[in-house]
Amino acid sequence: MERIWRMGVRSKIGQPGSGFVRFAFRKMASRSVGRTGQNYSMTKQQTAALHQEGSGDPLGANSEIGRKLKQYYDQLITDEVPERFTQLLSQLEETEPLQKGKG
Amino acid sequence: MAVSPAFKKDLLGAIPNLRAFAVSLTQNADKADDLVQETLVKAWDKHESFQMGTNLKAWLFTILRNEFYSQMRKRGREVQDSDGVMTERLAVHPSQHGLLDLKDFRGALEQLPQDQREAIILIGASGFSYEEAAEICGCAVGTIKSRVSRARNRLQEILDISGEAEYGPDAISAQVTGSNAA
Repeated sequence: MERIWRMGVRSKIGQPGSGFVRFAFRKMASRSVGRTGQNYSMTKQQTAALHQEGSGDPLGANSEIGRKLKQYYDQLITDEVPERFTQLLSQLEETEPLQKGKG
Repeated sequence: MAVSPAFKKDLLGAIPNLRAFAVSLTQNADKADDLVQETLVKAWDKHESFQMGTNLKAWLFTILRNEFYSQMRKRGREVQDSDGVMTERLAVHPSQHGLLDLKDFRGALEQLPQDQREAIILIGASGFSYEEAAEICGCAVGTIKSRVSRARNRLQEILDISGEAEYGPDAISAQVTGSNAA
């Protein structure tokens, strides 16, 4: 399964470095997380963090290494979260039930 | 104390980032997912030690990283030390047309010493500040800075990027943006 996941992601890459593709990746990230029923505040945070990169940053948008790093990482975070993790959290929840309301 | 629903929701939200970091550390998708699983279990057990309102992502990254190194030690594999002996491997040759291929980049990243790789990922990709990365790695801010800079230089060396303007969308526009940035 994991192998397929990796291959699949690779094939999704469009033109490296294209702004549109990076945007599309983020959209995909939000969707894949959303699909499993979770909110995607983390993805938004991530996006915000990416925007924060200043121009004086040695790994910022003007750096080839910086761009490649983000491209590499974006490819990884847009992967759909495997079932095993949602299942795992549900199992953990059964052993230690969630707190009901406040208290 | 029971685990709060918000905590569970935030854990789920952090999974994509945890997996990306885990792959960067292990360089292996299956091992990475096992590591993420361990991290989630540990985080769940230790949820009381997490202070709501503080940076959950940084807290989880710390757990994942500690788990990774403790597994490495258990397996008796040597963790590459800071100024570790650089593995003498053949440099990855970038594609002839100049555009740096993502596969080449991944190969170059694999050649970095562990501590440099994690530093450059935390700063350049995961979006952490130098202070946060230092906390995650349990070292000084200056150490992170020097690891990032060595990682960057080493990547440029492996990928044969002698100057940032040399490779890019095209030679001319790279020179233009290069001069704007300076």
